[in-house]
Amino acid sequence: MPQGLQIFNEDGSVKLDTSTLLGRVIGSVQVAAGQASGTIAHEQFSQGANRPFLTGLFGLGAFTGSVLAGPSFSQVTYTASGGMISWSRTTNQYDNLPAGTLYYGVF
Amino acid sequence: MPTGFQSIGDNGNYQIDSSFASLALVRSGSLASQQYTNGSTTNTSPTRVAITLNSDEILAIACTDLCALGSLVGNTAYVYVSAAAGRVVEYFIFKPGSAGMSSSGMQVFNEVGSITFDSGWKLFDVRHIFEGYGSVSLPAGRKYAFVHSQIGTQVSYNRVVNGIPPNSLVSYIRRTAFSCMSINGQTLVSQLANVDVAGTTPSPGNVPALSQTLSNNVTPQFLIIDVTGY
Repeated sequence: MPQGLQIFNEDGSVKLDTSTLLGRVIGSVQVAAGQASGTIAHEQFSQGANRPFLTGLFGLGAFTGSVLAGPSFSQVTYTASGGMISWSRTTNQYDNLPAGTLYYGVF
Repeated sequence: MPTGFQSIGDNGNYQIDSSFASLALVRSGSLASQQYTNGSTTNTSPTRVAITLNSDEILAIACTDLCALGSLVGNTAYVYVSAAAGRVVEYFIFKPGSAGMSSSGMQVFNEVGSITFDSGWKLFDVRHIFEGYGSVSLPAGRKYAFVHSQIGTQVSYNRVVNGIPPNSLVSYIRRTAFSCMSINGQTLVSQLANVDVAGTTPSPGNVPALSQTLSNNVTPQFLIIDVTGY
């Protein structure tokens, strides 16, 4: 490593150098039941070469159809561009969209 | 950032920023998967584990069988394993800036005096971004776990007829598949696999046929974290 920060473990092994990617969560948004899409803007998304990421935690949805039993799952997809994350999640004629939380960050 | 500390990596990515706390390990452990019931279906494979997950915590998991994080109900996260009961799921829970303070090493604080980095923390060290399905081999001698960033899903609905009409019983079955990951040493596999089966109680009657498969058509994405020694 010609320059930059290095941090070592007690045994002398490298804990961090300039090749290390460290994740930081910089915020979260509460997603209401039924909400199918949204956007998140944050200055950190476009700072340097930061790479945004999103991870979602959702409850279990209920069937809106009458023929099926048992809770259903919900997951989001997203794209990141220009300091903004755009996310969405799909539904179908059987399942609804449960409430949840999206955590966003950079590494 | 007019004041404070920043560390910028080779690629221009910000590694440490005193304005935003780094993720650090707060808890870890392992649990054996168990069967469970959804609707009238008792799932013996897939199975699941329940992990306590509080606000602002990020869950990384590892299993030698295909598994995925499915849902959060209250403070309980459910990880589904596409295998029979007894499979071990290791979990690693990270939270921003909450892992205590070391007595030696480097520390970084924000403008109000809250710690945002401590070199003694077990950090959220991203070693690979796995996109799509397939397998990848990472450097040996390390331990890895994954965090879902984007989950591919496929849900199929079917009518199942048991017996010969008019003495038959009919039920509706829903199978949910997620983009799952298995980790065996340095080999990581991403694959669409069943994480849940739910069904109605079999009952007599002439009910409409149902056969439909729905997909979110997403390329899955996993963040691969180095959890060696965690």
